[in-house]
Amino acid sequence: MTSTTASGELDRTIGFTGALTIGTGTMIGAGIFVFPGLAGGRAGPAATLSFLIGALIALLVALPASELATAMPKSGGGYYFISRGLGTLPGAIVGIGLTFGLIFASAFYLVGFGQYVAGILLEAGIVDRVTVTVGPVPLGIGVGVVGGVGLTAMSVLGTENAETLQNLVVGLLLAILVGVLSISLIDLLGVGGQADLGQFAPRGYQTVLPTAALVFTSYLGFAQIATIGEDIVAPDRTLPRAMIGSVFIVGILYVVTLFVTGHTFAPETLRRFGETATVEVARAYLGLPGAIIILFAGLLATISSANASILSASRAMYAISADQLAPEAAATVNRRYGTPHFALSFAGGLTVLLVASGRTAVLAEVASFLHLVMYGLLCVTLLVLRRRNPPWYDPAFRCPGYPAVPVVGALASFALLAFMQPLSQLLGVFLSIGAVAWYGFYARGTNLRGKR
Amino acid sequence: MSFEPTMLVASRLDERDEHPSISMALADFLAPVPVTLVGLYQVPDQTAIEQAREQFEAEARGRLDALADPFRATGADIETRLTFTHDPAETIAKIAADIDRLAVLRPGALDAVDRVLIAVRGGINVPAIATVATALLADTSAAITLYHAAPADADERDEDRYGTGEQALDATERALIDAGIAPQRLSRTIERADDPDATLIGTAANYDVLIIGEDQPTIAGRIFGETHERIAEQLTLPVVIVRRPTDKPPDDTNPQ
Repeated sequence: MTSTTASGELDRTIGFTGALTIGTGTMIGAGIFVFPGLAGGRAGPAATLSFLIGALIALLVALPASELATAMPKSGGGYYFISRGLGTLPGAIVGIGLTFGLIFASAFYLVGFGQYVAGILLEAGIVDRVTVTVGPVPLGIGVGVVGGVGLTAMSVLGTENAETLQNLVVGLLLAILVGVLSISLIDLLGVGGQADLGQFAPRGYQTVLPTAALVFTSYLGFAQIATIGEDIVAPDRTLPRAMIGSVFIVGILYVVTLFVTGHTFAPETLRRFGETATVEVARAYLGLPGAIIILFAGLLATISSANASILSASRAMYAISADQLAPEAAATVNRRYGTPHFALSFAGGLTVLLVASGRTAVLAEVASFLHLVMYGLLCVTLLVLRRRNPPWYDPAFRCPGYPAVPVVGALASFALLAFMQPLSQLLGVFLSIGAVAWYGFYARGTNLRGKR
Repeated sequence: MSFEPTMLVASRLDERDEHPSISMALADFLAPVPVTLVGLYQVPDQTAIEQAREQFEAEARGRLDALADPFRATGADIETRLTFTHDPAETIAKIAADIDRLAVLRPGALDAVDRVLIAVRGGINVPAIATVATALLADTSAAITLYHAAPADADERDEDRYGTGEQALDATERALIDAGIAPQRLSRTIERADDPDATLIGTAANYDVLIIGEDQPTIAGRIFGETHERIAEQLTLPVVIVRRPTDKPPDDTNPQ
């Protein structure tokens, strides 16, 4: 007997814990360590509401995304669902948007990384203030650029066991966060519970929605799980549980972090602390050791998120190139290193350029913008597919609360775009129009709807 | 519980590793048992499995077919599998558990099978080792040495627990003779050493093939990793690693 199998199931190596880790890990890097200062500086303790709104939107999208993912568990995630469900043009908008969205997200994490390195140098007495410059370049930005170049080189040359490392990092971060947050929360509330928490929304409730638009980047990780759908064991059960589970875990951590942060420092103080405000919160409750632990945790979190996003951007490029929406060369795998060297260099190179801009809030918002377009269209895809019900559509998991959940999910995703700052909206719209133009120029003849 | 002696042969096909070739003599040696030849193509985490498969599948399949040629030439029962994976060790563990292969071969250089070393640790592996050894050696005339290396500091408590090396070798010898191996082909060696693994490696270098039992039920999962791997890696001869019997029913969750 001679048979040759391409052995699909045997390639699946990521279980529930692995998937949950990937989702949680990507989200934790962004939010907890970089956002509290930016969000608390805008809205005070009311920023907890902003994070709750973000979590709610993420959950509303996670349910339809889970159904679509169990119907089409294939690498490419949201892009794949939308291009197959809605057609080539929406697919191109999302595929190109997602690639750039991940690149913007990666740049955002790297700016945070730079701030954390600067914070460590400050603590070590090597520099005397974070705003110091090296030549014409601010220290934090310079470090972020160097970090981006390093990550790109490492991923092109083939760093193995990235997932094992990621598991370790996320486990460590969770342990540190839960420890620091518990101590801070108990201290803040007082043992007897008669703490004076002060004002909840010192700058008014109108700051809540713009802040939600800013911090939505925190939740981008959950959909990442769908992009590795083909590596996940038993996707029909694992995918929905991992997506919803990671949004819950991270949502709770954010809300507690912002609650503690917002009640510890006034918005003006937080604004001054900027990206590393979490360090000052830890210092307030645990002294210097707390500050040092959070500095190193933030360093790990930002760099591992940046890494994960560059890899995801490269996979998104593979997905659109495999569909003839981009040149084949974009996803060619290097024979020597086994890695897609062009896709990784493109994503990494652009990331580095964006880091150099140093506009943390804009980078975060553009990343959110492009992802929210995808999330909204993802909900629309579910509505269209359920209505059209093509023969191949047979999800193992069905979204509860249909049609309210996808309808509200789509409306909420698109509505959040309106609360971003004008520059972010401009860039988001520009990139989306660019994707449409690219479609017209390069991919008009391609038909992806229903393609397996 | 009885075992059909079957063999899993794993080989790396990606460019980042040396791929051992299968000599005609090795294929002949394995011909009595059904063989599954698994070609592993390791894909770095940053590359999607499908992405690498799309680009390298034809080439890898060609290489796997070339590896399978000696087996086909012997008319043996051979099945080939090509798999692209992020984690070769885990994939092999799954395949071994899936199809319940009894032994795993680490390919090595082989001209002719004249002298075979069977390393026995304790009693638990004896039936499985005897089954595999009989199947492979019954139709040959190779001289068979039963071998046990005991730690120099093994005390009586250990021997009570595991049985002595002497007893294990007795049991193996009995099982082989019962299965029809001529007694005059068998000899035995017991060594006491500070480092039994190193001593075994030194002794095995004088033989053509080493047959060894695994300590842990999950040795297949460690094929690219631990104890037996360390032994196998330091040897240039083919090593047959006999899996410890498990009572676990075959896993049927992966229909092909």
